[in-house]
Amino acid sequence: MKSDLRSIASLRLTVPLLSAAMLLVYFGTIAQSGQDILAVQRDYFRCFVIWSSGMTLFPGYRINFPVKIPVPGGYVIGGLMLINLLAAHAVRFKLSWKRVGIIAIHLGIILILLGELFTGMFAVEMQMAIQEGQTNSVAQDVRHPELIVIDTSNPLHDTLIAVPQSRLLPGKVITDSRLPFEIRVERYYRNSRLVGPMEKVPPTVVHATAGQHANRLIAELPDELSLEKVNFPSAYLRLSRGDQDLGLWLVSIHLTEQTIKVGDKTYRIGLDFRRYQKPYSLTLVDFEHDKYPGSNIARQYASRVILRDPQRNERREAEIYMNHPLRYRGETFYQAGAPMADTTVLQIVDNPAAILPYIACILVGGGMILHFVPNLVTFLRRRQA
Amino acid sequence: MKRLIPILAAVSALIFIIVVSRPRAEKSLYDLGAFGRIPVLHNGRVKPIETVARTTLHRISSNQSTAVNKKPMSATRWLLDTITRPEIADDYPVIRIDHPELKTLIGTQDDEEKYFSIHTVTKGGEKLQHQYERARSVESSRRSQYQNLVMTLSQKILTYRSLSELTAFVPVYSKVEAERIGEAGPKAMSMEAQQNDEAVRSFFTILRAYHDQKPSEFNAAVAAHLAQVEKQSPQLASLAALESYFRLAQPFLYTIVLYVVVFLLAAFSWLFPANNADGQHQARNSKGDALRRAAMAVLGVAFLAHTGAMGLRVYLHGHPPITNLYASSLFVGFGAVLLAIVLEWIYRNGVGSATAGLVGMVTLIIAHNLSDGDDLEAVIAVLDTNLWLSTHVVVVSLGYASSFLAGALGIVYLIGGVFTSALTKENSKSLSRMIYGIVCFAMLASFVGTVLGGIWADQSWGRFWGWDPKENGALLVVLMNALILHARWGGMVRQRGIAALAVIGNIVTAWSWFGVNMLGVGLHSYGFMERALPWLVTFVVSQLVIASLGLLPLRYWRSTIASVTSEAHPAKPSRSVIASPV
Repeated sequence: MKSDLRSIASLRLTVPLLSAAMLLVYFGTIAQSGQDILAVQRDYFRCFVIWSSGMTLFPGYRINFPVKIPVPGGYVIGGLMLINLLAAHAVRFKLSWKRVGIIAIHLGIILILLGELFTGMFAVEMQMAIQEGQTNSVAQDVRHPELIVIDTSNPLHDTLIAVPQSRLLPGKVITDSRLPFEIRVERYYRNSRLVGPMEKVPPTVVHATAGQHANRLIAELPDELSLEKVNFPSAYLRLSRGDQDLGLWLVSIHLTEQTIKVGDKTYRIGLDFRRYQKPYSLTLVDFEHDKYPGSNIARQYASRVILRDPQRNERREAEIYMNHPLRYRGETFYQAGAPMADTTVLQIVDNPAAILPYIACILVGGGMILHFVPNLVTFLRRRQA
Repeated sequence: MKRLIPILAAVSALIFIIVVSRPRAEKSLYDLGAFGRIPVLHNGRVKPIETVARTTLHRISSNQSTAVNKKPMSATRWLLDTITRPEIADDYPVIRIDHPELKTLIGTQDDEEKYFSIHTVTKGGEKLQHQYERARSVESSRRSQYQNLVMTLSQKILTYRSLSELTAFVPVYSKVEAERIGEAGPKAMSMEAQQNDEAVRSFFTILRAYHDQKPSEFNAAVAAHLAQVEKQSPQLASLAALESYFRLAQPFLYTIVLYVVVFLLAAFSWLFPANNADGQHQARNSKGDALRRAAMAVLGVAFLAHTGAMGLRVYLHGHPPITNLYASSLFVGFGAVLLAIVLEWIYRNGVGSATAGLVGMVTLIIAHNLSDGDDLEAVIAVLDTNLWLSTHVVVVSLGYASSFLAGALGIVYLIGGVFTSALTKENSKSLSRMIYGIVCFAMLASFVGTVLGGIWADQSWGRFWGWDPKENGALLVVLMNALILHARWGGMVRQRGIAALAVIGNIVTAWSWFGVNMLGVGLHSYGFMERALPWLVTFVVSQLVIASLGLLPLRYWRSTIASVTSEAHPAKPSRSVIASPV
């Protein structure tokens, strides 16, 4: 038992693991020349196994494998590093001044690995756009579009059923007791655009047969690669109730919700980004969009907002600008962008693990100084002697 | 006599740098030096017209000066000719076109010629226009290489036109005035729009005198204009004068020469064998020792010049030292040379000086090739926080600097060991200890720098880590240094191995410094990066070749670094002074 622990605690394991981590990071970086960063995060770093069909050594130089090969993903390599590290300390643990630095460094590394794990699992990123003079209390998660079906029959409140993008796979049938109909996903475009009325219609375009948007046309677009840009998805859905075909419906971020009558009830159906109703509201008092004189280079964006929270009897003004976020109720509000001169976009992040890297940084930095500096001093003394 | 050598070396290096860095405007009846000091508003910043001339010329010709009919011509003269005498300037061959397909597009078949006049380039007119419209309708990240080339050429033409049509810059007497013009938006940036402005009218007088070829009137008008600037805003006048001096002096260019001298002196010092007992230190006042100390003296001057010029740059810019790739290579050079000086101070065997010369030279040459004439440009909003620019970026760059220094020491170890007999057992030990110490420092700096970057990202947009290419690049440097240290602590590598790994580290560092920018993901795919790719590939291959020297069995080495027994039976990991397990 002891010898098993010794072998998994070995530095001879650490070095190959570090090499594996380097390869993973390298290929995860190269992959970003053809895939958007969130897909890469999901497929390379926040997963156990990568089913690889080939290797891109450098953009443009790809080797294809005859079959898909399983390759350890971020969770496996990170997990093994964690085990190796914990085992090393279990085997050789000895609290002495000489080793305090080493222990602090590795404790910090563990926190960083865990921080990344928890962020991947729990962090939520939302955006909120506010026009000058307007108030908003709804945030949207533009990375998570969903299909929504709203039952409007109850006069007191609407009932909303949401289907996340991850379930909207072409060919899949979605059934749920709360849904008044079956949904068969005919097509799902992760990114799309509306075909203009005067435009020559591309031959691949599908025509919807039912709904208020049956005459609108949608063309598929490739995924956006940059994080600053947003995909605008659309879907063609075949709706049915029992044997009754309700037609082929087009839903899209570009289009408004449509009404559909099933039996004696009316529903609304549409595709939208996931929404978060906040218990507080933000009013944009003033938005400054400053540029360097005579150029289009942004110098500063700044939003002055009024935060109102009736539940907590909060009402105050706050200033949000680059590198100066507002923190409230465990959420942090960052100045993100400016689509128009009088409209601000705030990025709202709720990440319970956000503090871990800060602690880790102090531990590792301090640990390294504790470890390297005394050694350096000893070394210099010996040379002088 | 030998005692005097280092002093003589230092003095001549100092004289050299003073002589070459006095300002030298083109000799002419026209006072082009004074003209170059006129402050103008251009690309969001008030700068001397010297900078505008150099940036614009560089953008279209990849050079900061040009030649017409084999006679050299300064950027300011080219600017004046282009604005006031288009009848001759439109035939100056200044637009650089390398790609054969672009040459075909503009209707020339000349394979030898690289520079073309605006006249030649726009002769074929419609064809280029047509291709430009096509390329423009495609989103920049999805353009083909040909479309990118067409866009670049079109940008060059637009840049040229904005200069000749006086829409690129506006002369100003003060920064307040510049803000006022800037507020009014891009339209106000034409001199036509500002023609009632005092400064613009005075500038037109200068242009007219140049157009009429009247040197004395020109000089008087320039002097009057500068006097007005001095009167209204003395601070702006002195800043503009300082910046234009900085452009003319090109201090970094001449520091390269000094670094080469340092490298040669240090390398020659090893030709004289050590003749004292411990085989490591050269006897005081031997020939080798004198050369070594001369190298150190010149290194001191070179480092002062490097630091001084960088300080001047920071003063002019008003931002921390690193705001773009150009500045980062200046700083990486600075950091590596500083650490190498520390090594030389401790070991006094010429190795520190030689590597300082090598790294200083290479980084400044890289910087020179990255410069586009105006490296003090406006800093985009998210970068505009001096706190993070001066902590995260500086610390990460120190990590790059020390990783490169360790790699350079690795190269000295392997080349010196395989091809010369200079690597004695004692030298091998001290050199590998140097590499180890520098890798420890690199580990500290790259880790802390990377984490600080994460904290900055968390402060700016709430994401500590996003697996973005640049972040991944920094992480790779950290992992590489961790790998080297753990391989040594685990006894998997020793002196030879750590040298080879440090050379591999060069590849990782170069990749994260430049390689990730070439991906063109989320970041801008800069034009110069296409030129840089072959160099990066060459560098990677060269480093692989050098690192593989480490695999060569010791009997093929010209140096004897280990007795046969200890190599044949690699015993327990040697616990040297700083080694420590886990």
